[in-house]
Amino acid sequence: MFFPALEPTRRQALRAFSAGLVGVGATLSGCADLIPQSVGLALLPNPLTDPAVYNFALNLEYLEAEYYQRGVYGRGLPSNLIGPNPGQVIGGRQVAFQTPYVREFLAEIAEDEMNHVRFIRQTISSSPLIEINRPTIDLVGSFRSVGSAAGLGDNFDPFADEASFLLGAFLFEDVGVTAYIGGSDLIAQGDSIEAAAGILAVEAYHGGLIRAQIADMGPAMIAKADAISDTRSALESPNNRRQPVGVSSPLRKEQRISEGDVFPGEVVVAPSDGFGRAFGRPPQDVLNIVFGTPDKDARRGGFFPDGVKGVVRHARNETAQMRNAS
Amino acid sequence: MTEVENDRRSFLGLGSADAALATIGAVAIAAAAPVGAQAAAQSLSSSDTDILNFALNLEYTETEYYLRGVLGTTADEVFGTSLGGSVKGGRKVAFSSRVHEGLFKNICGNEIQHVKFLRMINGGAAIQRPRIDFDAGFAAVAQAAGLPDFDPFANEMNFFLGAMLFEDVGVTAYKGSARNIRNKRVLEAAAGILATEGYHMGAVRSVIYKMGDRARARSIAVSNLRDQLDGPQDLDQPVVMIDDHSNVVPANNNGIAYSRTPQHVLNIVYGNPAQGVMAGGFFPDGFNGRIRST
Repeated sequence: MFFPALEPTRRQALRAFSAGLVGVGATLSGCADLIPQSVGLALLPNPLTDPAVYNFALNLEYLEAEYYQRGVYGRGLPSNLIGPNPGQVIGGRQVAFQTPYVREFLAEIAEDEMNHVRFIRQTISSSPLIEINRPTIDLVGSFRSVGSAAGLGDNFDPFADEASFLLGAFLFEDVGVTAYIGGSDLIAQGDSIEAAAGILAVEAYHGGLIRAQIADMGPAMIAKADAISDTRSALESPNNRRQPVGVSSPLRKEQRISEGDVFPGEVVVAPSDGFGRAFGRPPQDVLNIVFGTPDKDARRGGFFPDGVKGVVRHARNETAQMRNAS
Repeated sequence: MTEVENDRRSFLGLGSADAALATIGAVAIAAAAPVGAQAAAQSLSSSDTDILNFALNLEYTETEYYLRGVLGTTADEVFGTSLGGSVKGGRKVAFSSRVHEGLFKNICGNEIQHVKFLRMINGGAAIQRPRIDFDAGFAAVAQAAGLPDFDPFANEMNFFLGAMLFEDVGVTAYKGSARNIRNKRVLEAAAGILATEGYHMGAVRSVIYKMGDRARARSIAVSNLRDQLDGPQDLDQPVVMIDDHSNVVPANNNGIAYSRTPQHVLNIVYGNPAQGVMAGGFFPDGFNGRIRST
């Protein structure tokens, strides 16, 4: 994954190349949403500039924000945050919360995720070859598939009640954390790194909060979350896995709430490896999960029936794969 | 590691941190003492080593806090060797539920693992544990925060608040250092630890909020104290907002967690807002390593 010696030179060269495209980018950025997805790959030998990595993350933030906005408030993101030509959102409705503090916690998360969408859009909207529109999002068929795979029944609906909504949140937040960690080594600039680290931290707070609520609801609820964890694990391609530095445990990207590593009786609020590090997923693994398929050639499916926006969008993205293999 | 990765590594001829660390990782699994550490240490830049040692001071402290409070034991007992300076204070806490005890066991296990990891990758350059005084540190916090009976080991609520005192700071410390880490693999590892600390605090702060008014008020006192110590910027938030709604996640208007410089982290753990301070609060002899002055 890393080019310790070669990376700076390589990046500099590619950045210089990108700089040559600034004129093109400036022309195109005004209508970035209109750029065919193929253009990004055709023009840029290494599209993984910092804005491109953030563009990838934006898809996940849209998904989370729409999920929480709809579940907590019964409405989607405001029109000024979804781009001039947004994809539609299928499903989602206000949840009938029974527990005041649970609703408050989810409202907090809803606000954070909406802020992430706003922040990333502001940060990258003037960069070349960025696709700022909300992708098409499916909150119905996607969850049915996950629910079915996890043994939660064929009609799993996270908006049906409070407990189901927490399980849907559980599905997203751990993925968000692993995606930002996996992206950390793809980001080059100090400001970009610091901002991404701050978003990562917030997603992790969310993840810990959600896991603690699930654990508090008892063994049956924990078993459901564990089944979702297993489902995520089964979706990501083993081909994309790489050895974290100093790895001391079997390769995995998931840790069940009920399955601690060190002490009997652990409630796993922080899924992590043998060195206590939360896991990182490369973008391809993340896409396999949100597309709901282990197919390494997948380009759409699951939560994103039309695929994701930006240049990082294939479960087998050639550039990302090259980096992953290195 | 896949075959492809192996080939690629060989092709690039990495005599680098990455290759060295991968090898050491395979050898040094679960070793309490650094193994093959010299090679790893030499392959890191001195500034990365300094940052990781700075973090190691915090991880030693968190490990002792949780081991004493959750299991009634010490890191020296768990590691089977003396890790360095003496540690004063701390005792086993009685928890009201298996979930609360279980989440702290998870957190405790993670902190032990962080100590192992940071000692391993810093190798021979890894610092020893600094001298830690929980009694004096928390007494100072109690006085400064206006919580005269604040002993984190006295009861469950206080133990949650003591955890919050340290680990929110840990999150901001890792975040503040992220941009200065040079080795990308170290950065990814640090990001993983940062996230783990965030997970911990998401769980812990949600419980503090659920405990009700008294716990919430105390979280405000702890947060205000940190804010008084760490300079003029507002970098801290309690578990409750001004409008009485929950604030489990401390974040700015962009939904981004805060950063602290090492100096501001030291202001908090030394319990002193002044510049140039080298010790105090929880650390009667100061931090070990090169980053130790506020």
